[in-house]
Amino acid sequence: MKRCNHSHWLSFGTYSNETSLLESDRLQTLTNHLQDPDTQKPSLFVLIGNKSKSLALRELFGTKKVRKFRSNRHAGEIHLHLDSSSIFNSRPIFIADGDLPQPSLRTKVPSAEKCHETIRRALPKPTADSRIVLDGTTDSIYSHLLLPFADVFCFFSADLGGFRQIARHLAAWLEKGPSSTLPRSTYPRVIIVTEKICLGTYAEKEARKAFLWLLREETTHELSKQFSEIQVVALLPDHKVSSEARYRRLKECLLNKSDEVRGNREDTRTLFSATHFDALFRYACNHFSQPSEGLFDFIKASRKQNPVAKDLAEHLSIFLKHIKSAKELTEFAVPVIASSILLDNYPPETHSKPQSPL
Amino acid sequence: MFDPEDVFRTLYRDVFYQVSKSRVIAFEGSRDVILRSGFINNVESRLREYFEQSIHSEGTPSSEIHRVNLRIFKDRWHSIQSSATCLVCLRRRPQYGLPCGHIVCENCVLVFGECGVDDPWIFRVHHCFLCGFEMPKEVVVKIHPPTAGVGGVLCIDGGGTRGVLPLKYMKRIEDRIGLRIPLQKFFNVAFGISSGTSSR
Repeated sequence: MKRCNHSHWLSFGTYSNETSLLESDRLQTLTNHLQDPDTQKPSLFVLIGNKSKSLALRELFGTKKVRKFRSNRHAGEIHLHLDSSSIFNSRPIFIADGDLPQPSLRTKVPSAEKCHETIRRALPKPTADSRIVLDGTTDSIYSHLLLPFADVFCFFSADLGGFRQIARHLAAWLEKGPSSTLPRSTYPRVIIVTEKICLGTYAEKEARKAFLWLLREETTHELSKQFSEIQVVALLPDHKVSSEARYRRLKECLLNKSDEVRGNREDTRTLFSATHFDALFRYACNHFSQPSEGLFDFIKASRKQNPVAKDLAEHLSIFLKHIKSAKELTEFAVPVIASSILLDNYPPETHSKPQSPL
Repeated sequence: MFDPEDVFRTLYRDVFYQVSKSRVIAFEGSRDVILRSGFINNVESRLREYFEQSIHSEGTPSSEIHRVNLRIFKDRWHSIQSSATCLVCLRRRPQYGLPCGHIVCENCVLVFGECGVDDPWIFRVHHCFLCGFEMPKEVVVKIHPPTAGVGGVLCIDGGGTRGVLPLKYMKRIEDRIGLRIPLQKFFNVAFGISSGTSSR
């Protein structure tokens, strides 16, 4: 098949009055580019903005200039790139980029590309009692699908209409409540990029204060419900310095924040290899289109193919009937049950070794 | 790999509440009692201990940990038998009876049995996984490979010396499939006439 240059990853589409989530095979394709997806553990950065985001994307991660496709890009699409310099690293960097269009700007339905596979998942019609309201805007993709996978969310203030607008969006995300059962420490960091303020930590701290103040006006929910930290980063005005110098600090910030999140993910054993990242993301998409199931649980998702035996309780009872004393229970039954659980949940060859081809 | 405490809490803890409905576990013919919470916490801390062993730099695979564990208690297994539960994994219905009276499930044969050299889907059992009983004659279990499809019927024509052709074709197909599964494993029934009979 001819290689295509499409980077489209996620979007919404409406087909005969039914809103669907469209997911291309982009993540899978990029995962296949990696040298050893079973051991490399990727980071996901989500960049949100428009023109200045595209500039930054090119400078930061050397993504190709895609002018040809730019005009074809639909407002609500999220695209995915792989930082080509990180293909061989232990940390390959996936970058998702998209805009935050106003709902009224959604005009055309993106037509499915013929050159790659796209999975369409119909979303349930919003009902009064559904816990999460999927309104078919890009916001819900960010806040419910990408959030548990991302290390850093980076907003480009110049493209999004200033701090107030960003605060409104973040407030809407916070109102929707958490999206997964991941521990708090792994929540992504937020970076807001602005050109309006002077360089320097003092100005950035002040801007951060101002933003948090705006956010509190929009919502009573605490930022810590979904994000672990927020930072404002100033960019030098354009044309004053070389573009490399202009974005160096932003890149450092992104990588530092990502390091912190990765450290916490490592501690809580929720830093996934690329293969698992890809598979878990697919489960997350399935879960996203069935929001009645509650929060996305990574542990349950990992057992979708091999669920815990439904009659486990029955089997354990049968075994425990043979246990006649408390001593026997603690000395014999407990270790046997524990190692049987170990074998059930961490079967040999699930990790580190290549899977048997059969 | 997820943290064992998280896994236990998410997937298994509720099962234990179903197993022992009351907060205190009593035993028939004994006056011992034990708190349910104590029992569950014990299982959890053991799980953590085994997990640490398995992720250690030269970690022991989980199957080996369980195998050793079963062996430690081999004397106790003599008196425990069940036809409703595979006592090796404690979660499946047993399928293969061993001469010692223990019955094990297919999956446990796959995990603990000895894999055949010439056919990776034939497993041999020399000792009972539970009581360690040495089989007078090894128990051989053929397992249907999961990728071998739903099974079908294989028909082979005859044709004298030309009967070699179907064999060649089948070899080519097997090579093209590229899995270590003999082609005949894909079929439940094979028929043949004339020289085809011997090709079966």
